[in-house]
Amino acid sequence: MRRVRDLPPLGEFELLVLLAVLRGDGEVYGATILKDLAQRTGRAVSRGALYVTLDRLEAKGYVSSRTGDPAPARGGRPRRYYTVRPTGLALLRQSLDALRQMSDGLALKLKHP
Amino acid sequence: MTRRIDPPRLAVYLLERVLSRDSRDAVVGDLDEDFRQDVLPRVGATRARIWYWRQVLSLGRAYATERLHAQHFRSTSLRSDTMRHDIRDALRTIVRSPGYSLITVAVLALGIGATSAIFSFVDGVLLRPLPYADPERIVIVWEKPPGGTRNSVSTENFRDWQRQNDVFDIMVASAGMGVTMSGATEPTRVRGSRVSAGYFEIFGVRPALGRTFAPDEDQPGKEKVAVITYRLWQRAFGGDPTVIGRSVVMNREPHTILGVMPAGSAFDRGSNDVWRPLAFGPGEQTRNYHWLQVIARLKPGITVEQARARMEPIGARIAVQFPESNKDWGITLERLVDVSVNSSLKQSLQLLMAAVAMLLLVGCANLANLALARGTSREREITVRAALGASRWRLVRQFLTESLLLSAVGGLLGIAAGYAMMRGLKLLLPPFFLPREAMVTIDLRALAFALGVSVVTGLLFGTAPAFHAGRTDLTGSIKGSSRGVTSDRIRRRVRDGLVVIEVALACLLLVGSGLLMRSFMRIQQVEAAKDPATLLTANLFTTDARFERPDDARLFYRQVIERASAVPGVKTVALSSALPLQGWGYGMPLRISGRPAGAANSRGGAGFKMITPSYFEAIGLPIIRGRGLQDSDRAGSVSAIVVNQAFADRYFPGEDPIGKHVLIEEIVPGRRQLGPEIPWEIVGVVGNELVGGLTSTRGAGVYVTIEQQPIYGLSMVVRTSSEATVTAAALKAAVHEIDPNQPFTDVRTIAEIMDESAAPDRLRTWLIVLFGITAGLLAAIGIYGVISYSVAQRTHEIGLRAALGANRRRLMGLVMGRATILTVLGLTAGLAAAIASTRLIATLLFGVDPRDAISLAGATLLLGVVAMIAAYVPARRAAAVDPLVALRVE
Repeated sequence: MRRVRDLPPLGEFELLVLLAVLRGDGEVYGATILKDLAQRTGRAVSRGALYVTLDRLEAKGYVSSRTGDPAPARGGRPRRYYTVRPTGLALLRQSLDALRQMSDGLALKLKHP
Repeated sequence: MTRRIDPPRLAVYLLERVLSRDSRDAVVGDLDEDFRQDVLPRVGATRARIWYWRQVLSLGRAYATERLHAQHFRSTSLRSDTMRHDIRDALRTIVRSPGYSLITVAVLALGIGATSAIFSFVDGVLLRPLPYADPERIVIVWEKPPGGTRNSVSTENFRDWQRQNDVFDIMVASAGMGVTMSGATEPTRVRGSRVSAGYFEIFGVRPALGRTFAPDEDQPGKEKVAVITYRLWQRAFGGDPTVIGRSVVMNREPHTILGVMPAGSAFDRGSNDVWRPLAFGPGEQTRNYHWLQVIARLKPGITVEQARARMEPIGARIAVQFPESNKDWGITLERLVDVSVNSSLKQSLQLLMAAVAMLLLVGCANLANLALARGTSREREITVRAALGASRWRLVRQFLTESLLLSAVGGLLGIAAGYAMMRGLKLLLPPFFLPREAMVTIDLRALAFALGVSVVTGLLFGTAPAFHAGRTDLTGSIKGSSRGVTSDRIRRRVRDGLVVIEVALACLLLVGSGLLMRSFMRIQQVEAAKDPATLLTANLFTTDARFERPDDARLFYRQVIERASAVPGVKTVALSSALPLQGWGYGMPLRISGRPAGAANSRGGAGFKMITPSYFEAIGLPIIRGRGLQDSDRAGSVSAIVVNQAFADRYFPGEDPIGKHVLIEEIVPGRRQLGPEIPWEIVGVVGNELVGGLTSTRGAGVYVTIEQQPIYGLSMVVRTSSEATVTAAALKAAVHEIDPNQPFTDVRTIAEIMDESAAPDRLRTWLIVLFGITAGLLAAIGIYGVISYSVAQRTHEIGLRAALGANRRRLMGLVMGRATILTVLGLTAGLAAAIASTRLIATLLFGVDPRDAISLAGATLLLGVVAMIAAYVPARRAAAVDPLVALRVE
């Protein structure tokens, strides 16, 4: 496996999606992630963008998914639950570290006027 | 329990198509869940469905782009051929800007559709070879009357030509003669012809079923056989193949059906439904009654000129041999190819094709403009590509691929649209308006044409931005500066030029529309008869064998007038050998009595109608001098004739024609024969009746009474006071009281005949007007685009001016000034082109000068106003620019 350090850094939207998956403790799926993102960030999130990003994250090995039992509330279609994988977690940590390093000491300046 | 509301099924279906199998359940399920638990309770069914659709579109777009990206990366890593690469790039760009792509495809589909539809007519009528074997060898042979150009042929002359010529493989005659089919059902009238046995051989078309006539079947005694059209076979016999050999009653005599001509052949598109052999009866073997159309097939290697040269001596010999009938008569011939399409139809089609091509050009100019404007917003992308090493050719190719791809999609949709338009146009044309040789369809040729047009259009509107892309100034764009670059000025000039071209073409089309519209309004004002809506007409066909003696016919006609006049709601009843607008029916050679042979106007010809005296009153034809015809003008009294104004002007210029005598040979009723000359005394002059159609010129013609010159088979004209349809049924009943077997057909008002006569003009006019208005709108959109783009580009400059104290009016003037220059340039060019091309449209106009000031001024004014409105919207935006905002733009 490649070292996390050598991987390309996460995009902003990827970062947000990874955080939402992490928060869900393996019990989140598309619809809940979408709601969570919209509520916390306060911006409209495109449904298409979310699924495409989830697919991409899974393809890169940052998240994994498992298929649940068929749910009657949604026409008998099973949900797909997402979990963050170690690589994803490491990359997330690295990105957040970088953000923290860069924002350190700027609290005053970043405060709302 | 409340009704369960489901997501829109079509949306679910489409979404499932887009998604891969392993993500389908998760994505669709999530959407389902949100729809039911979240959205539906909040906003209600309708808005929830709309929400669902929007989600599906968002998903569709995201996945489509993603997939193209993925393929893109895969293909570049594999270094696959650049062609596919270009197409993928183009597809991605198209998906990314759906608005632009949609507009482009829609404009193209409509433009290419209209062009293909018109082309299918041009191709079918003008370009395609006639659907016969060796069509260039088929000729029509005419008699050449003294002082005239062509005339129908008499029986004996035809037979002499047939025997004496050595230039034709085969020569046949035909004469239009409808039949009344009776037997199992109510008697029906069917159009038909009597033709020589070899008729079908001339065209080389084989029957679909059975056979055509054997060589000896046009001999008397063997002629009770018939060949029918596929149409009639389906309609009257239900397509029953056992119809061959069956006996059917035609004109009260049994005929054996021999064959059925193929569907889709020329014989199925003409007006004829039945062909019977032309066997000359005893009353038809004459030399002075001209009634046949003669068609012949040239021997291989013989030209028309050679044939004409070989036929002329034959004509001269017959003229010497039979001077009483043939003195000064000759022979002339022309190729069927040259005469099958009349010049008015040909010109109409050429005009329409030119108009639709211009419309397509305007559309292309518009798209090129749009593409150029878009090129600006894509400058960064291009620059980055160029900086990364994309060659100029590569960039050009990418733009071309994009526009070609769009035009291919537009072309495909255009073919569908064109097919629909062609079908629609065919329905709007009166039946049998096109020559029977014309097969109008969208086939491989039309498809090839549409595809060719698509490719050319793609090149046309794609080239400008493409070459511009190849010329991009790298440093300027990368720095992000959008002003003052040389290439920008070039681009602006190109866009200005395109707009000027659009305005010019639209102006040309609108002038044409105006002219045709005014011409059509003139046609609408033409009165074929007074108050045409209450003038009912019908045909009373009779066969030659119907009356034994002329007196039987006279009696029958008197009874018809008497019974029909008694029908409630009928004001005047008249009979005539030909209805208004339907031709003269008969044309007769004549001599003016008392003028020495060889003197000017001593002989000539005129239209000849046999009528009842009430005819003039019924159609409202004014009596200018003398008297009309009277009931006392009957057998035994002085032969009285009424001439029209055109006749008086031609034969008696500056003279009073009343009391003069005209010598015309007697028409022998029921036979193809002329009797001795009758000295007709002119008793009156009437106005010129409209005979040949609404726009026809009014030629010389004369009228005599049916009593003094009876014939078999007349039409009826009835002036009614009550509702015409009610009266029609009563009239039919009245006629059937006299003879239940008398056909009473083609019941129409003169207004309906006029309407049909005007239909081709109307269709042509509306098409051109439609093209003109569309072109005008496109040009306005073009102006709007150019001006609003320039306002957006110059926001900084305008803000600066505003800051320096320019007032609103000045700022608007600044913007409007440019629009005005472009419009004036375009209008000038358009008007110049319109005036230069008047010759092309002149022959299609009726009562309107091709340089008609109202049309020219109207088109200019209309287009000018629309253009100014289109420029005003962005100009107002410019005037409203806030200097502070504008200056901060950089």
